[in-house]
Amino acid sequence: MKGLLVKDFILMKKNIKYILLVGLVLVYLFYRQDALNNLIIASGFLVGYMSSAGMLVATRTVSTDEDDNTSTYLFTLPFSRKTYVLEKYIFCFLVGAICFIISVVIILILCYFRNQLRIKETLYVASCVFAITTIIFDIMLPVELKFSKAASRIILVLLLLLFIAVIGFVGIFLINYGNKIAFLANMTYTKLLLYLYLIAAVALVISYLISLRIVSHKEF
Amino acid sequence: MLNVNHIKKNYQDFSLDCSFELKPGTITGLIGKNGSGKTTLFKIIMGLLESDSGEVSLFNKKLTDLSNVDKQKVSVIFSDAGFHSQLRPNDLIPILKNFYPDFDEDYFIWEVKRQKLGLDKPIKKLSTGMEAKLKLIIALSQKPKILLLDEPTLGLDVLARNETYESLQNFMNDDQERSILISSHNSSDLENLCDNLILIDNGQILLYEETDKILSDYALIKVTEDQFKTLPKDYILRFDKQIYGYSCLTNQKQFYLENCPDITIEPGNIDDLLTLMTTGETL
Repeated sequence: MKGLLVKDFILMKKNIKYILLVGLVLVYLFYRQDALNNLIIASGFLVGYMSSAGMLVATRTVSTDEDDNTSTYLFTLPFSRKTYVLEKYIFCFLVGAICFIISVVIILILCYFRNQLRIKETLYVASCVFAITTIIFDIMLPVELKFSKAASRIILVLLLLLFIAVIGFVGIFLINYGNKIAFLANMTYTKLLLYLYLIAAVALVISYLISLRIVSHKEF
Repeated sequence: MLNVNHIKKNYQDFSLDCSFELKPGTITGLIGKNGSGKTTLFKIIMGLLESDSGEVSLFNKKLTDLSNVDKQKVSVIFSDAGFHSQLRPNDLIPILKNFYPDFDEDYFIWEVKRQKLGLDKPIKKLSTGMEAKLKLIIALSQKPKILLLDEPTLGLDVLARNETYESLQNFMNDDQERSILISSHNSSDLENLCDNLILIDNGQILLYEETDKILSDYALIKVTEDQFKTLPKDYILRFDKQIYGYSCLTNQKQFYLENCPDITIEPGNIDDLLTLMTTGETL
């Protein structure tokens, strides 16, 4: 497991500079008061971008493993297929979590210097966005493992569009009818967060089991 | 150490069916032309492909029962697969250290420097020959008990090939319990290296013999059409029509030397063997 993690971190290090560049632009935009008026939405956007970009780069290590026939050699090394799948989930979650923490720290520092520090709200939004990012990642990883590099890109774009459409539809529904449903009207931020993480956890388990099945039957 | 027992793998236009054993202290050569099934066999042995039937066992264990410790005793080289091309030899050190507790870092660094491969040079910037050398260094630095080498000398010049074979001999001399399975379509190279040879064609093993026996007992008989008619054919394995008559392969050279003094008998070499066993006719 450790060997795989070391390999993935080294490979990711070689490809992360573009993500960091866009991240720096976002931090700059965030810092400019006139560029992003709603600080809380901006926080969510920054955390969402950083976490999903981190997880995306981490997930891309699956297709990196397939470059130049690498996986043929890789799977002769001393680890089981189960370890490979587990390592991918741990690696992606670690990278996502690191990006999440870094972006939250950046937001809090920037807010502090602008005298607009609202720790509670910022953490609520950031945690919600991170849970949603985790759900997206739960869909992405099995797709990356199942399909070839080119096919997985197309499928991922389609899935993300579908996901955005579902989120949009749910959002509109909640705005129009949210207050009329007792369960939703009484929902506190903490409960919402709890439900989101519960969905993310269930999605994670299902995603892991699907990925394990895919890799167990894979031939090289 | 390695036992391949009636492994079968069927594709639409190809069918593999192989059995052999790799004993400690031996080097076994797998010879066959391109597409004969060598790589498929390696992949089945390493569990990369699932066989339709039959069984592979390593260290007396089924492939599915192998632990990571068992797998650490096996190193593999594929001619067309390896670590990601963005990685540099320096990047490989921490990776290999975590996979193989016995990884010989000093040997790895020393060999990479000695062969002028460049510790900080990405694999993608290495020539085919340099990449082949790096793969061998990686495999040998893992200190395995079994080396599985699929076309390890592809892209190497004669000098580099000889150096590779010398490294393999040294690897064997260091530990009598080690063994190597090596494939190549350059059969003459394996003649001097291997204790046993397996000739594979269209997924079938045509010959599985000790190299010494091949060199001492096998011979190429060259006869005219008239001589062919009267030639005792009890020990003719294959024959092929030639301009001068027929060339025949036998595994009883002594018999023909004693009983047919008028015919031309040439000592067997692996290239002739490969050619006649794959293209020749049976009686």
